[in-house]
Amino acid sequence: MPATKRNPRHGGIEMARATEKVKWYPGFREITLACFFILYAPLIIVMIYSFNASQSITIWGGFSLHWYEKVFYGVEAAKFKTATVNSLIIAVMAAIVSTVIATAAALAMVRGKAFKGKSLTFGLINLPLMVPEIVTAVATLIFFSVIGFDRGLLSILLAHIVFCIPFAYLPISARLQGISSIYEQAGRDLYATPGQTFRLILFPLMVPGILSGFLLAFIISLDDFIITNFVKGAGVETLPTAIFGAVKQGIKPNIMAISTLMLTVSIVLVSISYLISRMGRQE
Amino acid sequence: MTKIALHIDHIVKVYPHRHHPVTALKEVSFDIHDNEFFTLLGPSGCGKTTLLRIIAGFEEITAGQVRLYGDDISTLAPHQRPVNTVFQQYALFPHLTVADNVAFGLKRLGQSADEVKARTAAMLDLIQMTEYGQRKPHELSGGQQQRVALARALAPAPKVLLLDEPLSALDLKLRQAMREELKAIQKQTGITFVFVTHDQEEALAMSDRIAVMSNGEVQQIGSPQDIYNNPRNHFVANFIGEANILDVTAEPMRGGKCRVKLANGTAIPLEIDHAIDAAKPLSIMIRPEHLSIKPVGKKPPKSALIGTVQDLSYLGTDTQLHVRVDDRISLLARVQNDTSVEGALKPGQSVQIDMNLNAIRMLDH
Amino acid sequence: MAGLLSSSPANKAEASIVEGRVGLLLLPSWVVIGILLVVPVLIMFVYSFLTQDFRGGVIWTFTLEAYDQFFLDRGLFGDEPPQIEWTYLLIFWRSFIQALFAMIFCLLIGFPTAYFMATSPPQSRSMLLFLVTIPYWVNLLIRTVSMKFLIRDTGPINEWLLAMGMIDEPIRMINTAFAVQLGLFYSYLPFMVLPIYASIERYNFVLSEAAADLYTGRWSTLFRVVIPSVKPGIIAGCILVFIPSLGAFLAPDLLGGAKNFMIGSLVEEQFKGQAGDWPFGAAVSMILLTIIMGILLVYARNQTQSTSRGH
Repeated sequence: MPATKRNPRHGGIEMARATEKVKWYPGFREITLACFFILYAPLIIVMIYSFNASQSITIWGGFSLHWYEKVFYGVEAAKFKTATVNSLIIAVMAAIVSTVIATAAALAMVRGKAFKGKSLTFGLINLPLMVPEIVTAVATLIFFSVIGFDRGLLSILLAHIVFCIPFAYLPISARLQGISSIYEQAGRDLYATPGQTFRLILFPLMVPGILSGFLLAFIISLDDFIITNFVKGAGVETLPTAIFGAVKQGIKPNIMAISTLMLTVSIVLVSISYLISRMGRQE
Repeated sequence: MTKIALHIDHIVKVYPHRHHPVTALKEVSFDIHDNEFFTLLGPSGCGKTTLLRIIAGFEEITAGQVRLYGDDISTLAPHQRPVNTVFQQYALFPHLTVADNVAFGLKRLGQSADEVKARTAAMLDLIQMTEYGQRKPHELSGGQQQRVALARALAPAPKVLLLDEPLSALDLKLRQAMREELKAIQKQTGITFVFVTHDQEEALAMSDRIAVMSNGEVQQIGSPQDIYNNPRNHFVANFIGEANILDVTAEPMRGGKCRVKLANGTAIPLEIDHAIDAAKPLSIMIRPEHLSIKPVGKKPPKSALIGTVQDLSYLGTDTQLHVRVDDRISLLARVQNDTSVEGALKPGQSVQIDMNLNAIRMLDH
Repeated sequence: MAGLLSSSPANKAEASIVEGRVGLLLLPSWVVIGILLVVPVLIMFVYSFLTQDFRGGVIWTFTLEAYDQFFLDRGLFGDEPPQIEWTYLLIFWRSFIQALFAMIFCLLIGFPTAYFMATSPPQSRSMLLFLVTIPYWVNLLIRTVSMKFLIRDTGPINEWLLAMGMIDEPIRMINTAFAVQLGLFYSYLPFMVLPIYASIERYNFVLSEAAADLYTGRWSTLFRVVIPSVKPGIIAGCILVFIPSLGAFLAPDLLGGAKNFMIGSLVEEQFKGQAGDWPFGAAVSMILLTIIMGILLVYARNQTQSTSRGH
């Protein structure tokens, strides 16, 4: 088939080929390749250089896990370890809380009848996506300062919960919209109370959406830099703020090793989320 | 006196849209008998599904009452009604096995594990799917899913089983086989079935009684024969089978008879069992198979209806033809293909049309 | 049966399992987002009218000082006739232009990519979609750091070019406006591809065939039939790139250095260190928020208009 695409003057007898011809545009394939190259080249180069044995960070000196050893046992290991633990605690808590809130909201928004203020509520749930991160960061910082709230892990957690809600909400509500309400009706028809209908039918069917919502919220929290940077107290670091601080001193190879680790975590989580949602669709 | 299973009492359903509220049911009232295969038949939008959902408890009633064996169930939630539904798209729970689907209602009713197991097995046996108990719904064919949906709804032994166009998703062969199976299961279980369909053939084949609905009203209730042979009005005559409907004027004669005149003046002596208001516009109905067509003989009787064959369509067992009498009267007729007449008819030919007088019906407007 | 029927008449026949619980289910979202986002934005609005306390923080007296400082130049001692203050307007202007170009470049690369993806065979289509999704979710900080690493004076690009003898001295890329532009483009490229892909996937290619059948050339079909049909996806992509670019902080900070200030850096500066002017930072944030909400409002209005026209 690619041969036909390359040479549109050739063939064109078969229907399929004719359709392909209409769809085809010269150069789009090359631009796509360029696009993927741009997206992935910096990440792949950083991954490769994180295994560089050389002290100089750009000259290749052979394969080594030296920098990973540095990450776990080097001078800065303790700092990054604390930051990682902080990040994980916050991400897990923020993801759990925001997923619960988003699930409740999705149930009401998707399954509830129209009510006054429904579109306003929809706007409210998506507000954290619309307000630029830097504005959210400033507003939250001022808010905590005005009410005299101690800045630390808790303030970071609270801020994260807010902007994780829409990310958790998206896949959960999408999943819920895909579940025909006829299943709930069948449940009610077969003597299940509303509570039982939720527990025995709707919830099991929603699980893929809830899991991918949880994972996305987790990644979003784990990755956040701007808001965290504003609302964290002095001396409290998460992994992104610690990395940012270190990068300000210059890019050292251990940063590349940490980045590679974080990249891997993100890719694994996104893959899991992707597989879960695909499993959900197949059922 | 037959026992009444469901009493539909002056039910009104209005969907309150902001600008133009939609009335789905206008004061519908009728009874469904115990142990009856009852069908709600009508085109889409006639209110039949709304009525079914009201009986099941999925829709609130604007006014009126649903009584189940005498008890008012109008305000009960779906799970409190001893009524089960076979949904159009089956609605088998995709995360549960076939057996768990069938057992679902039994468990909610608080039956013991042994009872549930025995009843589930019996139900799977009834639909001849014992060996499929551990499959998931998506591993079954459409026909199998249909039967599981039926077993699931029958398992709790509901007082009334509601079926919402359950055969519409099946292909023709399977649909015909399922008709017989459904009817057999209804007789076997003795449960009252309320069946919703827009397929008149399905309704005629399966039902004890049919309610023909349109525009949120019941047009006629009766046995399949009754509905087909004695349609009460235009809508029923047109919706069930094919019909020739002709405007007439009537004049009463002695002995309960009256004479009606077609628009072209042809008179037809007709026996009528109810009073006729001759001042009102009237019409008569006759089915195509009750017209007999033959080429015009040498000397047609004066009173005979003469027309011209417009076109013929070959339909296998018979041939359908349009016969034009004049500008106002055009008739649809059917001729069996084993008769000698069939080969003799051609477009453009003059034919004599004889009506089977016993099959002519007066229609209300 | 009797037990079932004796339940209270208030128990209305209802199909939805959330009936009567909608408020309860939405309460957490209302409370959390209300208290932790809506109230803070309102407080920020109030803050922008307070007086700066030079020891950090604010004095609770009303003043237009912050907005005055943003828009008007009254000389060093504040006693000259007011003129328009260009410093901050220029930062906004530059941010605007850079966000605009980021949007245009993302569109030029993103549209063909989305189109190619959507017209690929189904198996490779879901693979390509997955490949675009990954950078979307990978930490933006790490992606920006990777870009910084790549284009540094002593980064791989310069080293390779030097090693191959194509240049004699490193090309200066880092800490230039170009770097910021590249960073924004790179950061938000997936945001452009995904919504366009979604609308091209729904596009019915029979329309293209009909156009071809009616003597329309390839490119003419693209501009007259395909693009008008998938316009909602293109506009969504443009907004998803433009808005975060306008308020971006990481790309200008890490790639642009001190000279290539954007709005994000200006805001951040007011809240870091001793020199912080919180009311001014709040005012700048308010202005940015107003611009963005304005864009979103126009977008939302156009969208409802086009959907109501469609019916």
